[in-house]
Amino acid sequence: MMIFQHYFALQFTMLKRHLTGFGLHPWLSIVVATAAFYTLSFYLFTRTVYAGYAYMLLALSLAFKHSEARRNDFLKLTFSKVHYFTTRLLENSLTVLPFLLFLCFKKEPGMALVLIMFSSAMIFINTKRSFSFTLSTPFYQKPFEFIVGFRTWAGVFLLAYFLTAMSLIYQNFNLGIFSLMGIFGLCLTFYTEPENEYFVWIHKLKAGAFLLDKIKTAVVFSSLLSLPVTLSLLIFFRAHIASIVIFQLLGYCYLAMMILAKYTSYPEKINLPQAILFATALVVPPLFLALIPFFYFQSVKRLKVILG
Amino acid sequence: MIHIEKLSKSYGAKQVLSNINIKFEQGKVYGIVGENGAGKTTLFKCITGIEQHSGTITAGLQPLKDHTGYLQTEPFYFSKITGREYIRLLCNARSKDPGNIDDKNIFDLPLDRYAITYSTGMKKKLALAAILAQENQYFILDEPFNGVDIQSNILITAIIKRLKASGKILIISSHIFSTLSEICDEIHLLQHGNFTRKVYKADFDVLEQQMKEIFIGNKIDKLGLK
Repeated sequence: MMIFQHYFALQFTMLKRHLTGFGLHPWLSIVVATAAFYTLSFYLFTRTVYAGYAYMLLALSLAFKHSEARRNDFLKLTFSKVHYFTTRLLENSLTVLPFLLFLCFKKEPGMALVLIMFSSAMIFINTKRSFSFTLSTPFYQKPFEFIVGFRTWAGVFLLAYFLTAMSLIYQNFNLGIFSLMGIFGLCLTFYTEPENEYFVWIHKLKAGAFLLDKIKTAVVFSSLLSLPVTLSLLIFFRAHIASIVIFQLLGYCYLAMMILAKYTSYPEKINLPQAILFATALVVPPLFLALIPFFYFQSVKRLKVILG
Repeated sequence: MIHIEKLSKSYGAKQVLSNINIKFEQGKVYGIVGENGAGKTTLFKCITGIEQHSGTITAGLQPLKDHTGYLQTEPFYFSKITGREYIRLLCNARSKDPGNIDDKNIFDLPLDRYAITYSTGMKKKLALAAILAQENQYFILDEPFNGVDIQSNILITAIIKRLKASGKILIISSHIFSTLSEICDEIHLLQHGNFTRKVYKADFDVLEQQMKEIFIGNKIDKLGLK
């Protein structure tokens, strides 16, 4: 018992450190996250009859994160076979527990049982550590964000193109715009994590030029990714040309702001106040006018330390 | 020439490097040795400018960082980037045309595979191939022989000798003394954040013997191995 007690206490300490590092009070954020989780769960179940399936999928995808091969190799080396499988079973059970409780509350014993069975079976799964297949990208000339991002989200990009096709077939302009903004949303995720300092240090460019080069690359490559959607919408929804152009420009602004925000705390992750400012500007686009220069000067200040 | 004067570095109250003074000259290979935690990597990061420090570093070519190839102990790779794309990334960053990357693939690396799937030695060789493609004037190689196979070890030694012959400055750290004694002109011993000894080629054997005495001492006896 001591082994598990120590292991999970350590996991909890790491979680608290992550939250503190992000500028949050650990216990307060756990309470808020729990409240948010159950509020969203209630909301989801009132919106669609398929909520249970989505719910199970989400729970299992979270449990799946424990199947990472290198992490499990470490656990196998450290623990005995019995302790290893027990640890994984406990991890998966704790991960799906909040979902399980809600399914029981919603009187869905069948789904709860399926969730228990699948999450338990997943303790025998270890994700592949290497892939022999290399996905080609059109971004070869300018590594790395779009190359890595495209390969990570290739399936979702295909889904966005599929939704565009659906929007054309069913003449649903909003769906088309949704897929266009979805593509820009995915591009934003390419810039959420600060890269290793080495990959900034290698650049010959000064801080300002470095940022402008990043933005230029992002604009060109995001245009390439959104081109099939934008062109289709322009051809099939001619009455909405102004809206399409506005949304496309909005996408570029979001991207520019994301890149600038990323480096405001570099080499640390974007901090909470800046994240809140960024999120506010996503909802209130005119804030771009103030935030883009604000983030730019903050980023230049941080990057100057490395780039001179 | 790279001239370091009064370089010091602290992390909070912990002094890692203290008043380092050293001059590196063109066409020479410098070995830096010291125990784990002696401050070798921190010194390299200070020279490259990745870490802030006190004291001054002057170089013939300015800014120093734009002419320096830095091979890290454990090179970092993005999860889904191929070897070829990694080399291109490093060349792009210095506005260098990588030319025909296959010609520069002297270690026969599978360049179209994701670098993250490479073995430790292959990752090291890829990082080295990339900084060589950058055509730098100064090289800082942190443990270049770690995890590398014997054939590549020979090749890396030959590369270092060629770079030295063409007038480059090379600063190398290694825990494998025999490789350093073969390629270095000078070896500097870093202890507790300071250079405590400077040894020329003729005295490398003496240094090795002294290091054994200092670092091994009676530690093996203390283990009580049976």
